[in-house]
Amino acid sequence: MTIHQLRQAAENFFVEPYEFTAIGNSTGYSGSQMAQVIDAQGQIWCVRLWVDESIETLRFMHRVLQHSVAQGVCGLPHLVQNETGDSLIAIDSCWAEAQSWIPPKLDPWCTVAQADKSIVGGTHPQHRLRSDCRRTTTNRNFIGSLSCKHNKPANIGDSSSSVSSFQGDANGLCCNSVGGK
Amino acid sequence: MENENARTRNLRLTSGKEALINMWQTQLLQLAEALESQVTKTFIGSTTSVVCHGDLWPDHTYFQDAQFSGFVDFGALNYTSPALDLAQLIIHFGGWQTAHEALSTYTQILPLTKQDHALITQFVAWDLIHEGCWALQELQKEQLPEIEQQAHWHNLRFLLPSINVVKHEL
Repeated sequence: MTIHQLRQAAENFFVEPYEFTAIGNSTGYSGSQMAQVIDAQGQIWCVRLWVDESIETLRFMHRVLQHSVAQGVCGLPHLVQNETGDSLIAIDSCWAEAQSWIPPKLDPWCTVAQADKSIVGGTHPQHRLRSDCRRTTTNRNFIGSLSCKHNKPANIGDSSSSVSSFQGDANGLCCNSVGGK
Repeated sequence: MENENARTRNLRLTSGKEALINMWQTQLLQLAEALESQVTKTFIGSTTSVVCHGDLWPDHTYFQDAQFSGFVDFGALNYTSPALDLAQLIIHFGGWQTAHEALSTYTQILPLTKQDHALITQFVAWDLIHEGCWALQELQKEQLPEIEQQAHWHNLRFLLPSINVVKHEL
């Protein structure tokens, strides 16, 4: 049931094709259920289910994160919005979110069942992520590494034209600041 | 002979762990009593308010080589005194002996009130009690994976020296 919910969340946040891997029991995420999604551009994302938290708590958390990332604070995940602009979606009795993948490698305590790994959708190279996630991936522009304390976007104050994000791969992460069009 | 040595080693290991558990049980009670008498006092004064992660410990903090790469798990995010994050930072990343260095670095960015300072000690005490109880409880589980057992034993050894000092700071 949980994997089904995670898949549903991934479908809602990402455009096919993407690689989906269900991951269980990560201590880094308080043992919550989550999945790793690798999109067509090779960016890694984390889909997480929130079971006990209220929507007010989650919305507060997302507002703080979005504001902080827009101000160029490093070390925070970038939240994905679905096509209606929501960063939280209701699935059955819980809430789901998708954010940039922060850990440089998988938590050694977490479990990955190979059976839960799959490619979703076709292999068309022009597929793009939705919403601000799309802006992030299509306007990629490497600025600096994570050694910085604050990495401000090019146009602070105009969040519609600039976005700060994390780019990651299996071996590491770098903090990117991306100027908009 | 070899078996005998292994048995002796195992016995020593077991008695070392038992001694550690006993020390924790005694210290936790004393710390809880000291904290209880402290929190019932009325504090006068204001705290600074900032956004706090609220659950800072190594599993929520990632490094790539020696460089900080990011935080995860914001479920305990709070708008409250920085004492909350500072206490967790001190106790989980360096122990109470690093408190002075951590606080003098932080206050260069944001000054702390007297109340914040008092809260740091209380939050540290509260966190030590929480960590200690959690580790002792988990270690009683029969099916606990080896890696988790090791992590809990490590935590108990690492945090023990802080208890005594914090108890007297309260």
